Amino acid sequence: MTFRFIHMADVHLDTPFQSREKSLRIMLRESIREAFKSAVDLAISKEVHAVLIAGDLFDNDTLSFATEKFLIEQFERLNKAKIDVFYSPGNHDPKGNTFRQNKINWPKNVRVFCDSKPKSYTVIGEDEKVVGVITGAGHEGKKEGRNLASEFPIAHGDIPHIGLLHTLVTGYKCSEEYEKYAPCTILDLESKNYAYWALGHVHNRAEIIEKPLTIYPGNIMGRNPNEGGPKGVYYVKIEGKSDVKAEFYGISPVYWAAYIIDSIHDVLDFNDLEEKICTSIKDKLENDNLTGKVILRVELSGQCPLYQELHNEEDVENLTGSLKGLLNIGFLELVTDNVMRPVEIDKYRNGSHVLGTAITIIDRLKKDEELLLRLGPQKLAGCSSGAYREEIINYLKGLLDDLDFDIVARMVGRDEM
Amino acid sequence: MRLKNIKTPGFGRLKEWESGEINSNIVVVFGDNESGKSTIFKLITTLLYGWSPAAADKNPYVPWGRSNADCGGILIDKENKEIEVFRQLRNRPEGRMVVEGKPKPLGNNPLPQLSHLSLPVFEEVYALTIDKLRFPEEGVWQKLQDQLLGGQYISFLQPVYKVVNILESEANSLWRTDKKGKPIDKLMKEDLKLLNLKYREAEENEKNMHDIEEKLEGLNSKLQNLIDKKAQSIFYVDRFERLYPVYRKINIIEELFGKSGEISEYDFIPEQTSKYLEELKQKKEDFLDGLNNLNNQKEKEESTLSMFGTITRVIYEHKDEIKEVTKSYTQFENDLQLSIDLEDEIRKWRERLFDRAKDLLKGGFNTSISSILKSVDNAELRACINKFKEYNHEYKLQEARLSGLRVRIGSSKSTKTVFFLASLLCFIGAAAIFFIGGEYSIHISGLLAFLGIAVSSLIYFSGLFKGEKVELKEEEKKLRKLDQMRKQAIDEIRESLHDLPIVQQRLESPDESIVVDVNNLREILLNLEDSIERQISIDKRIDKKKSMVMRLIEICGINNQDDILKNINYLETALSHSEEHFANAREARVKLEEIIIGLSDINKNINEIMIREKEIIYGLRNFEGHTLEERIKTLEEQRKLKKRAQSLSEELKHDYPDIQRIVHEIKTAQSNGETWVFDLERAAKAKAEREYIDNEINILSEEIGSLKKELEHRQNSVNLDDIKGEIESINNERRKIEVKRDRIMLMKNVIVEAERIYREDNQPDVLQRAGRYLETITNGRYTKLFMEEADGEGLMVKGGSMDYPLKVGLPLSRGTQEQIYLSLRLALIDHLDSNGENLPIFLDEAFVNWDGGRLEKGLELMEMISEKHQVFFFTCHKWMAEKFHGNPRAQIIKLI
Repeated sequence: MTFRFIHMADVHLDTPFQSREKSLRIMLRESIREAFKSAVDLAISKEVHAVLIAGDLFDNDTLSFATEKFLIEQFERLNKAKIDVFYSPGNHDPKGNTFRQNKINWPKNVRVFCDSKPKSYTVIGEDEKVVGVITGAGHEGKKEGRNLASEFPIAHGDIPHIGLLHTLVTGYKCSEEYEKYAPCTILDLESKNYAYWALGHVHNRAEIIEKPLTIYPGNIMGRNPNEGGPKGVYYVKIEGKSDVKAEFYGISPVYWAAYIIDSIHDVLDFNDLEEKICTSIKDKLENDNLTGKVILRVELSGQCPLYQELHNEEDVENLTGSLKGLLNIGFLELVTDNVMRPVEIDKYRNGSHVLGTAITIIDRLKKDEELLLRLGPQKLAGCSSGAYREEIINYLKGLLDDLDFDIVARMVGRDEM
Repeated sequence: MRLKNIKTPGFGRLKEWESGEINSNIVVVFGDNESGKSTIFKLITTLLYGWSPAAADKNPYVPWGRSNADCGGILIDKENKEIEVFRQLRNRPEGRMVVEGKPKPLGNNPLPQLSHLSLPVFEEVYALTIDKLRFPEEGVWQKLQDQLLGGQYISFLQPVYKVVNILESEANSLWRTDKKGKPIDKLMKEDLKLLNLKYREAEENEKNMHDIEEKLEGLNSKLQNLIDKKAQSIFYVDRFERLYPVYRKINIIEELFGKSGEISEYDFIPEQTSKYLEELKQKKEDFLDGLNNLNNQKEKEESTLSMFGTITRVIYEHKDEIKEVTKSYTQFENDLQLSIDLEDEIRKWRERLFDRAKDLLKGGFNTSISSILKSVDNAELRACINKFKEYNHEYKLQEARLSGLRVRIGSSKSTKTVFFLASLLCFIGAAAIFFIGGEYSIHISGLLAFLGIAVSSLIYFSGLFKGEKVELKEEEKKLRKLDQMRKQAIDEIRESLHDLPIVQQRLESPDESIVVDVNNLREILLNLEDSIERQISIDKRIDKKKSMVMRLIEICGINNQDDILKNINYLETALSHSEEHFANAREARVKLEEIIIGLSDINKNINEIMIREKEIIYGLRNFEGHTLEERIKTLEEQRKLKKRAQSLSEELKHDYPDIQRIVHEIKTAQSNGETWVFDLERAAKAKAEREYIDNEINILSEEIGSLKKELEHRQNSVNLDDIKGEIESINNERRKIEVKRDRIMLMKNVIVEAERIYREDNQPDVLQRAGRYLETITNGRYTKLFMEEADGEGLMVKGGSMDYPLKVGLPLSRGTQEQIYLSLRLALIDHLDSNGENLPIFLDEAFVNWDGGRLEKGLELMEMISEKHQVFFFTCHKWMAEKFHGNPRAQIIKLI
């Protein structure tokens, strides 16, 4: 007997997409729904027994009316197809009256693991036989710090058991990048005799344990440039008790791609720069095998003779427009904050002039906190007035990156570059 | 650096002017006002820095009336190399320098040795007029500060104040500590304020949408209840409206059927019985009239039929033959005429035949030679005739020839006659032997022949015909032979004529005419035979026709008129009459058949009518009434009731196609005791209730519709996450801006700090030097100069005996101030020159306000400075110029 299900996590419906571009926000909002709908389509087409959602189905407590309607509609589709939904809330959509998910009148096929105490449900197959057991638990607060996995019951019998949890598994390579909500160890998961662990929380797709197969499917659609590449869900088939096969399906209609181009020191004009960017981006997109709708973020970095132009908003806008056309990409963000004037800083270091003195001061500032505090602006825009001395120092130190280059660029006449 | 020579072909008021060799470091240029001192100073700065202004039409030193100016000079650099400099101002400024024989273009640029020093600084520091002995102009002072103190001869650095101003401006455009202006951060805050407002509205909107949704659920439930109630009411009213009219009609129908009784048993009595009976009576009378008419017609037709008798019938039966005869009437007529014509023609041919045969044939023509005549071959005959003609011709010629010969011979005529007679005798004897026969005759004939032969032989052998005789004999022999041949030809002619008895004369000398005549005769004979044959054929046809006509005449009983044509006409007329009678008879027969059928029908109808009358009257017997009329009335009334019932029943069926089901439903309701179904009052109440429910539903529906509309409208408004995204995006940008601003401010502070430190390290030296110069000039009265503030506006002076410093300004005499500023400039010159060339210093009446002691000290100081710098004194004061008389280190250039 085969137990088939879809495993997804971190849908983050109603994510507030951070962009000043309304069209982009709307497109992303629609795309995330489209991705979710595609996951439901996949579940129906594969005739799965269940859909497992490992937390963070919503991004925040204020689930919009329209999204709620959309969600219910999609779950009703699954209900019509006789597919059960198992949903284990995470840190973004935990238990609590302030969270909308707790007030939703879910369709009858939806099982929500509201409590941190694990609960098990059986899944019935075509011939009215039990094909699997889903055990899950939910976060009870925004910062669930308890190890919920350790409380999961040990599986017995021949029916495959699946653990469903929004958790951070500590000790694997990417875990440091994420908040330690409902943390657990690999050992916790291995000790339960489960066939499969359907996890959520980590937005990058990762198969962290081979046996029992333990997967972070990642979110179903990237939400910012840092969440690049194909995103989607896992289609899992379990033959017998533990013959597990999991296949990734990219369902995101939109991909994020963020690239840094730092070899722009030799461009002579905008044509040169356009060509360089286009060639580089096309190569990167091809290498990353991104052929669908891409939201591209290109960060230009390093010294560039077109420094002045690349800090001119109008020039950057024109270049962005031109690149969109050349790359045939609808959304492109061109970041030029880190483009610097070509400067040979050593030429001025220790010089008998104000600039030489300034470079020396910057070198001292990196070590001399008192001096840093003295020369730092009296009123800092980026630091609250009640900030601690340590915070201020750290903040100010952050400002020192490449400050010497900037000062040289500012003080040295353009003709001397 | 010092000037060795300066010259110009035309520069301002100077024309073809040359300084001559300047070999001293103290140069006094002495001349009256307007003598050209300032022009010489300008000439020197042009040599050093190039043309300013650079356009010939704008430069005031282009001589009057010329479009160009030139100047040149020789300079000695710190390495004692000569630098020859040429400057020209034509369409554009040009310049070149020659160092150790190598030319180098200058354009309008300063000499490379002065590149670190801008012209304004040079003019402010190195070229001192009395009016410039003051604190340096703000711009120049700033440049001095930046260049001298900040950059220390490094011209590639942007002025510190400029960089600082830009940074401050940039930082303020991003974020400000005060509330002034509209920095980006402030604008963003305003945007955020609006967005937060929107966000709260969106939150409220979300809440409202959920409220509306809840309300909608309640209203929908209420609406559903009303709909259910309405459905019940509709069900009842519909049932009532469906069943009640049928129920009511069924009751009426049943009552009507009850009253009409068993009227259907009398359905054989027609409607409007009285009228019907009357009509029957009338019909019967009509039928009787019809019967009479038909009988009359029958008689008439029978009469017509009898006219078609035996003779008429026989004629009609032979109509085809008669028609054939009559049809060939014209041909028959023609045949008769043709027969007569042929008779005449035969007669003519016959006459012609006999007439022609008369001349050709022996005994004329008779029928026995017809076949011979026809068998003669014209060609053969003609050939035989021609043959004869040929022999005959030759014979005639031979005969003539013989005749001639005989004449020639003459006398031998009797011999010949004897010989002839002997021969004849011989011939006769031979012929007699041959033809006569008989022993006796043969002896006589033999004797005669012997005698003839003997005489002939005697004559012959006696030589009578010797010579001409022989010839004659030969010719005669030929003639005889020809004659023989001629005769043979005649025989052949005769043979070719097949023994046609041609007249002998014609055969004696046959010619072509025989052929023509035979041919004509044969042609006539053939024509005759043809005519005869045709006549026979026509006559046969005529006879056959006559025989046929006669037979018909006889059959049809017509009197023979002995004229066949008349007979035919009679036959035709008789046939016409016969056909007319036949047609009439046939028509009469048909009519008669119809009449007989009609008579039968009428009889049958009359019979039926009588039966029907009886039947009705018998049926009416069972209805109330004394008279027939009364009974009929009773019947009709009962029938009306039944019809009404039936009509209602039909109406029901028509109006209610599902009447069976309705009736069943009514019966079921009745059997279930649901009498209320047919309760009018209750139905009225149900209708009223339904109207009330309808109103309620309408109100609810409107409310639901309005809420749905509102919900839809609210759904279309901005989403929370969208606003939140924008807010976060702005906050991100704000954070970036704040960091950027703080970084810029930190950068500014670092630059300001660097400048302060650098100034602290370097500025005191300038002021200390200036203090020392001032001490020299003032002979120790003033010893120190220092800046109260960094921007230089607060220059302070202090003397050894002074308790506190004085701000350089009005409290000090003009001379003292000029001495202070000269000292400051000399100190600046020390700093500016310390790393490069020692440039010449130009003093234009700089000492005219100085008192004696300080003047002397000042001049001493300048002489001391002239150790390093070439010093030019420009003066119009003779006393001033005289101060340098006798000074071996001074050179005076006097301007006229």
